[in-house]
Amino acid sequence: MFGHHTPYILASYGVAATVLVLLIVASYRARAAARRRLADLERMGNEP
Amino acid sequence: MNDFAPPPVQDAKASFWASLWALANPGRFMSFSARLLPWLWGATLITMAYGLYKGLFVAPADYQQGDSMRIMYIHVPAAWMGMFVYATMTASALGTLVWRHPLADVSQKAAAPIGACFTVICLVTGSFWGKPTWGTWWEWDARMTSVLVLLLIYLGIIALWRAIDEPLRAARAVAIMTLVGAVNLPIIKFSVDWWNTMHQPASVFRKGGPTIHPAMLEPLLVMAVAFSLLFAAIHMVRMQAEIIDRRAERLAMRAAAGEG
Repeated sequence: MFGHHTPYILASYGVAATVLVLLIVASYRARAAARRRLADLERMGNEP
Repeated sequence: MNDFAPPPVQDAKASFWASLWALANPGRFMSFSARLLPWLWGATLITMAYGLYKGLFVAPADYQQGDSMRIMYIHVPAAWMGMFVYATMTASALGTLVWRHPLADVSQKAAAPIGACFTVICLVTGSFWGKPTWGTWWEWDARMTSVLVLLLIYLGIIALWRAIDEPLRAARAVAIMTLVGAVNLPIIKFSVDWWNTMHQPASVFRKGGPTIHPAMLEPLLVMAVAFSLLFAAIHMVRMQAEIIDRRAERLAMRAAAGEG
């Protein structure tokens, strides 16, 4: 595709995509975990 | 004309600060960011796809570097973002220490891992570019070393957030560390001018304008916009997570105090 530079280019874009996807997934997982924790605490607070 | 009316410029300034302070309310920020996030992700995807297409398939190969210069379309925006995120954190540090803005430390804590990731991408892609171009994966060059120092500062800041339990104390300590670390930003920027380095000098943000051909400059700038939008989107999600987490923490402490 890009001659003898192909492995370097694919590796660069691959690493960047992997790092960014992992960061996005980790961020959404952190938000989901925080929401679950808050919901649990609110439910416990409402229990008699 | 009403003599008591402030000049229009002051009006604009006042309304800017008023809107900034209005967003300082975490509840207001949560509803604002929830409405903005889908648009941010949409804009990120469109600009990223366009930038990748132009950079990989439309822009010409460099007459000296060949196709390896296509790595620049992620390496350079990642380097800019690594520095921009740190500059944002420095402004947040001032917000924490000087103005005590309620969301300043939330913003700072949320931004640090994103800045670290952009810096890792910058270093790794730079290495993949260096091997075919310079014949080496790494050189203890002023620019590369100062960017590595930036990554270490990011990791130090993330570690400091985790090391101190009390949020207020952690925020102040991290803010001071961030301000001290900001001295590295001009070193990174001007390292290629101050020292004799292998790294090429600035070719976009320089006196006299960019030296890059417009056909290569366009995808580079589009990718820079895409990375900025991506940062804004991830930053918002992480800030939301931090705000919810702190709300849960307060609730847990209140529950524990009630039981005691």
